[in-house]
Amino acid sequence: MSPLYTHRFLFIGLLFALTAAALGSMLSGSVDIELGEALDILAHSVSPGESLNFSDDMQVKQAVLMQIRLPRVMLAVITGLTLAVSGTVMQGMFRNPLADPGLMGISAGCAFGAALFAVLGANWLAAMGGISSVWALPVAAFLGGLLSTWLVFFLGRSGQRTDVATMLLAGIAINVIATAGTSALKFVADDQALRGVVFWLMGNLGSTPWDRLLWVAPVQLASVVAMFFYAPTLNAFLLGEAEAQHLGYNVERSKRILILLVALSVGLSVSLAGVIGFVGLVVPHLLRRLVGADHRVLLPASALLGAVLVLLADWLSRTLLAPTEIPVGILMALTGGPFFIWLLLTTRYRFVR
Amino acid sequence: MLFRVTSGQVLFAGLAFFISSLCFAQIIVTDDLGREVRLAKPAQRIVSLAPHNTENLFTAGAGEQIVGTVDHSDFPKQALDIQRIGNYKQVNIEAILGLKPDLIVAWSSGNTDESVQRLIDLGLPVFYSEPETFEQIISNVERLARLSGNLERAAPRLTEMRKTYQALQTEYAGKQPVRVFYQVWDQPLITLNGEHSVSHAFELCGGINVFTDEPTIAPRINIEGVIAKNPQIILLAGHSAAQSVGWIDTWAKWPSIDAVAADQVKHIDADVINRPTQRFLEGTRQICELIDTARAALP
Repeated sequence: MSPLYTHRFLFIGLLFALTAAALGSMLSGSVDIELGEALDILAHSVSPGESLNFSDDMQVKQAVLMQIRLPRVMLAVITGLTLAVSGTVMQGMFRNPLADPGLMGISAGCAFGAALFAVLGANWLAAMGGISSVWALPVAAFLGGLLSTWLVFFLGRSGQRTDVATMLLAGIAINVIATAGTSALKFVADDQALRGVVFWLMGNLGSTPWDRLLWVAPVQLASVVAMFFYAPTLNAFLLGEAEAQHLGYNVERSKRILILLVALSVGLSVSLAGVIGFVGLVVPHLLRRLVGADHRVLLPASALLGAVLVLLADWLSRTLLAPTEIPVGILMALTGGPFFIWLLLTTRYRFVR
Repeated sequence: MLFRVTSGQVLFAGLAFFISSLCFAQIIVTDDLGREVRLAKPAQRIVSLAPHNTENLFTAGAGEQIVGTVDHSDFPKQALDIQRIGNYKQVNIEAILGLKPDLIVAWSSGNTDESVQRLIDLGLPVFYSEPETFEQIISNVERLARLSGNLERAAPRLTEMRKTYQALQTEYAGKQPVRVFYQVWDQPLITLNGEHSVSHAFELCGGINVFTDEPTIAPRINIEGVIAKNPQIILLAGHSAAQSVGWIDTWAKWPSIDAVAADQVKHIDADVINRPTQRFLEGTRQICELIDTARAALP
């Protein structure tokens, strides 16, 4: 019997939660949109041309729904999915319950890249002919994240092998260096130059337009799907690297590919949505408690739960104090932290079941 | 008892103190935190701890008496030549002491309390400045002129500022209200609430800040909130016209907003309007004119 079928109720529940959260998120905001109106708009948008019959009021609602809320929901889903699956992969690969995408120095590297650009690069770009920083900041962030991940990976290699323990330690070191670099830049730069970066560091799902989303999301989705195929390898990893090798898995190659996939998808996610912590850490822990350590179940379940969590966090972030928005990263850490502690207190569970 | 004090001696001491205070006429001024600032003679070596203080000191005629200031003190041009002693958040206490100042002009909401407190503990006279309204800006300049012994020199400028303020008051009183959205930044979208001095400028011009009731002074809001409030004029306070151009494009996508439909998305120079100085009055005049144009465009 397929392990997915064994846990079918969990998946049905998660899919239901995802749909409910997405709908709820799409129907709430400063502009009131009813469920019927939303469905009407969605139906008309699928077959364009008919929207011309809409009243002025409905046209505003259509624009709000299609241009603001839908891309936002999409970005929340893709971000949550990427972060949670990457977190699960990292924990499985490192056989360490503390591992999450942030540990590879990705987030810190992205932050440093963005800050460096904001302080030094923005003026230079403006002098080059006023290229909008709307594109440049995410690109700088992505490059920073990629560079730091490569450094961690490089430091973790000894000869032909990749030593996971060394990589973890190197990750901590690179994190510290990149964070200190960002602090140093914050110290020397004026408020105006860094306003965008500080904001972006706290996570934001609201400012990504369709075109950028449509470029980046497919790459992220493809990386996540590729990671799904490594579920049996990750299961073998749980026994130990040597054991996995003996079972016939190409351990070195798998590690390299997985790290590359995580770096790519998380780097892209951070460059679009900023730093949203904790999803990658909490989701695999929670699910391992519910369904065990089988990555064939764990990976797809993580994807769904991660998407639901980020959707809910974003929904709260823009409705709690509307029209003021709370940065979603802050909200996630504030709710995720206590939840994680509760998880620790209620179960002294073993990492591998 | 060795030192026996007779009533005659007390009387004599009191008289001596009274006479000496007449001879060395003290300058006593109340600062914006309600503290009394006493100077035995007009300050000649002033350290300004905020860009707006530097600007107001120049307006008060005390520009040449400033011996030290903080980064971003860039107006008027002469301010650029003054020695820097750090930025408003992080001042170098030793550098300040080295300048041997006889007056510190601090900024209560900007400077770190600890560093200013250390200057006070070291016995330096500190004037805290926090002007929010038009009256307070004018009174700030006046008190700084008093402390620096420039009251006569500053008199024409003070009269001019009062006149500008009164002229604006009479001109725009009772005009039809216009809903205003003031954009401080685009990513994230930031505006100002009703407590900010810029919002007071709108009120003077007969404008209503659509986000006046937000709890924080510079709330981070979203585009949807602006659409729902439907402002009749959008003021983009970029640091340059070029910056604001990029922001105009964002709004062009939302013709349902009255301001966008009526082509009332305008740039206003942030440096002119954001600092509580004489330039704020000039900025207010510009804002009033922009709001008046939007008013004329109302259906």
